[in-house]
Amino acid sequence: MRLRFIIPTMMLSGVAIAAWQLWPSPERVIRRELAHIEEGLTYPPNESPLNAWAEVNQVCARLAADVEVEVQAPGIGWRRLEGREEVRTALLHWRQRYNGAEVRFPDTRVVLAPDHISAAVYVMVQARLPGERDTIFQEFKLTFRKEGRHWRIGRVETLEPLR
Amino acid sequence: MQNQKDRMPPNWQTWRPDWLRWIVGRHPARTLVRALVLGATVYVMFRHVLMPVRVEGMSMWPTVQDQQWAWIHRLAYLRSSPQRGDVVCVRFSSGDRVMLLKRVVGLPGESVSFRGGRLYINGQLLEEPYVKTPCDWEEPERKLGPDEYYVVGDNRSMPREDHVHGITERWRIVGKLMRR
Repeated sequence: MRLRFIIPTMMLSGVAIAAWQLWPSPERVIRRELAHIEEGLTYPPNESPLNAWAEVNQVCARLAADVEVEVQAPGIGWRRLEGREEVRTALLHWRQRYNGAEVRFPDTRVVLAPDHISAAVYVMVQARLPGERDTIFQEFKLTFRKEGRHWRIGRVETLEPLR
Repeated sequence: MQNQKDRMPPNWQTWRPDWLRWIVGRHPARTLVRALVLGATVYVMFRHVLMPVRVEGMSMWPTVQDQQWAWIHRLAYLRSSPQRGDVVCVRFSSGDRVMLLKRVVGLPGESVSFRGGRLYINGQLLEEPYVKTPCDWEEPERKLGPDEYYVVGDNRSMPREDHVHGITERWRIVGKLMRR
């Protein structure tokens, strides 16, 4: 008697979970991309150059070719980068300058545009460098846009909560 | 001679070893409901009413120390507005796991300026007994909008550019620091 209800319920749940995994919402896809970027920006001390190159390429693969980066952050001041290659060079330079970094995104908010082909993503970046006592916190706004089947970052800018 | 009750086979519907009974109780369904209610209460309490936070940084020194734990009353401004002198949490656009802890010094409609390291509100010097460090900040007068507050930390020993402070909107202020 009970099985008559349990088995269809379990089957329906299985189908729902499979559908959820196979056809993720744009927000889930973007969050997954952010998790990959978070992973790619974290690196251990004494990282091999080959590994650094591979990780930076993984991060850059998630950027649009004409990406614009405008950052104002403690320690680096105001910087503007244009294009994937400039970002790649800057990221490799960052990895050479700091021996290890732990990057986390503790807060993320995805605001999908009504057309569903672009999204504004607000990300809190928490970075910890070995030997440094203080943790760096900086909020960024990332503009994602859909290029074919992929969501790529078209623009990165820092945000200040106080003006 | 053995007791008749001991010789009866156990009822597998209700029988449980002592250790399991100690965890789930005599009525597992009721225990589960109680655990769920307790979990939900704790979540709501610590997330939306009285939120524990760990302070990182020296911006609010000496009122709040680096690495100190503090409580934020998130319902403090449900029916009232932030007042001058309140130590508040200011949230970012991305969420509220990381927030700024600052003191409200300027209220909506007021003008705020720093001259010779002293804070002036509408041209009047504001006494700030909580500031214990000398400061030489200079900042031109800024007028606050109808829904804006001026917040700043108590530790002004660093250069003005290195201290995050300024105007924030009301919606970003999520709670008030509980006094110890």
